[in-house]
Amino acid sequence: MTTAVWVSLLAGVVVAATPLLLAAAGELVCERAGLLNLGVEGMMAVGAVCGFIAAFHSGNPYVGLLAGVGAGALCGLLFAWLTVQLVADQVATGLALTILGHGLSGFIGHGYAGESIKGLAAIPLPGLSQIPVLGPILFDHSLPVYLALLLVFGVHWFLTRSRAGLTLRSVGEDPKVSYSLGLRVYAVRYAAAVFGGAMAGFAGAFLSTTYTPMWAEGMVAGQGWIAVGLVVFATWRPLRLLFGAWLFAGVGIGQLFSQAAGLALNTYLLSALPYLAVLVALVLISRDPLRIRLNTPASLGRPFRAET
Amino acid sequence: MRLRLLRRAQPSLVMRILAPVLAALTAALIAFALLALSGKAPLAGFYALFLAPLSSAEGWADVLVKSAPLALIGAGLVVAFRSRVWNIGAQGQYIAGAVLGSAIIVHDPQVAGVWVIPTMLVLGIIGGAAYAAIPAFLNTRFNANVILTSLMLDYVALSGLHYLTFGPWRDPSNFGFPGSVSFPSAGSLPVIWPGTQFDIGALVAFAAAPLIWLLLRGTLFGFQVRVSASDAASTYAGFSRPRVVWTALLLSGAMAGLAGLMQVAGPIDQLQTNIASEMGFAAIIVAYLGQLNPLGVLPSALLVGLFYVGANNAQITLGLSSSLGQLLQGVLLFTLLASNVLVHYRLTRVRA
Repeated sequence: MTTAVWVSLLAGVVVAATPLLLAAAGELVCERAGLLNLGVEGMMAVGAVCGFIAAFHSGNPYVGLLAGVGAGALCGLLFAWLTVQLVADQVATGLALTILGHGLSGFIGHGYAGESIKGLAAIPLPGLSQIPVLGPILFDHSLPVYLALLLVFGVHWFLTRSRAGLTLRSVGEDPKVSYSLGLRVYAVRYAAAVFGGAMAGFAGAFLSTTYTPMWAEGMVAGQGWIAVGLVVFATWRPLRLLFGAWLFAGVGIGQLFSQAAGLALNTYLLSALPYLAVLVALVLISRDPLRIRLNTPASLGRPFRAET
Repeated sequence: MRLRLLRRAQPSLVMRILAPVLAALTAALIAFALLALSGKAPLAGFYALFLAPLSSAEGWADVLVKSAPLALIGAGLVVAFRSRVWNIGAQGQYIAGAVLGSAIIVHDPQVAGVWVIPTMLVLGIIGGAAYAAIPAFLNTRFNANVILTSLMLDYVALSGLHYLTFGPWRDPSNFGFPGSVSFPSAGSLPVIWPGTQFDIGALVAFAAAPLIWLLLRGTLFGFQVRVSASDAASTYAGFSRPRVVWTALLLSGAMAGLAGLMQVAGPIDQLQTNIASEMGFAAIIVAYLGQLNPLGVLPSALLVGLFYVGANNAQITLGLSSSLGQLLQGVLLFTLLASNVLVHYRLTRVRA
């Protein structure tokens, strides 16, 4: 096998990892604020359909991306309203969001299946894309691919270096103490949920406007769930998302790899492989209960209400 | 003047019953708005969705047939969720039960004898329970999150089902369409409402909810489940958490597996690619809408079953998207979760 084949495969991994990175980075921020949002899959579906429809009517895939971000943010807002304001169970609300997102995307996407749009063009970064091997793998992609990479580093900086990030983490660790210190627990959790939703919507819109410029029901196909798994795999540390996303994306396009390597693997086995990979990764990471307990945001999934 | 939520001293029983009603009414209003927004006559749409299926005996039979597996899976999920074991992999367990139970028929399509059905039922139960045992083992042995492992196994089960129905188990005489052979009469559950698909399996499914109610009320296991709501209480009572996790998953998995088997040996009559059709997720809604009470599961299963039949009907008569059924389920769960705030809190006006 030639180097060129490997380079294009690895470039494919970087692209396929993009929706996982975007959605997982959003979910990570949300979970660090103490909110477990299991609705990523549904928010991605809504982002995908809204992104596609906006791109289809405007003729501009960038408008589609923005629409996806906006639709996802609204989903996140809905989640925050229920779980923060109305103290609803977070697991149930997340599942409701997934089911609602599936149904809503099918309902409003009815009639757009089979339509196609011109996808987002690649923007090779001047200079960097000329580097042999590394250039085509990392620096010859569309805008969201770069943004996803920047987002991971941005979230890392935000959580570890900024004052707002410190506030967010303390709300996630102990909302009661944070509240009594005068931190705005509700506002922080609202903002985190909206950000998580926006990024999930962005990820969905990336799928429908760039990765495969079309809309089909069920096109998210479990990637939202993989993103949720990825957050646990990364033990809530943003930089570790990169490694996990590339790993899972690599397994996801395993079919291409096996063809390139001349292996004839069962296609059904290959389609199950990403989910099995997440399963194995979760088991390996969770084996040490102490590691999970030390890294999990302490108030994750627990409702908070200031009693007055 | 503004509204504010005040915590009740005790959860309100009245609101626990009223909240689902309030939720269903709100969801109906939202459905009305959605129909109007999609440019259809809302009244005609409303009729096609909710009333047409109930205007004939056949329609009622359809709704009951559709509700039966939801009631069965939902009753199992009530036990799991009350134990705070988030088994959201009912879909995979349903497929596993259907597949294992179908193996007899695929092995010998001409099979006959009275032993066939009971054996299939047992295999269905074993298939579902065994598949649910995987997340139970991974959780109790390796501390892996049940939500994620059980969900990932859904997708794995679906791939396996596709492999079998497109590959080795495909009926060669079926013109290349995926799916197993049609089940012979010895492998089909007897219909008890002539002219409809309402068979003995549906009766079994509806009987599960009261049995689970008795289990929760009258046994030590039921007590363990009920105190699981509080970590401190279970620890103090000396209950072993791994044991609760195992029992909750095995029980809910077995019931999902049985539901899967009774679908392929009943209304569907063969092992198909699309036997599950989001059944596992709909059952989650059924469990919550029944306020995690086994008896509450019965009316909520009927309501969600009505959504399915109604959405199909609206698709045929009005050309609406069949996703409408799923959308309404999602809306309903949202309105329920929002209404449930009134169980623990009351709304009061405060002067600014």
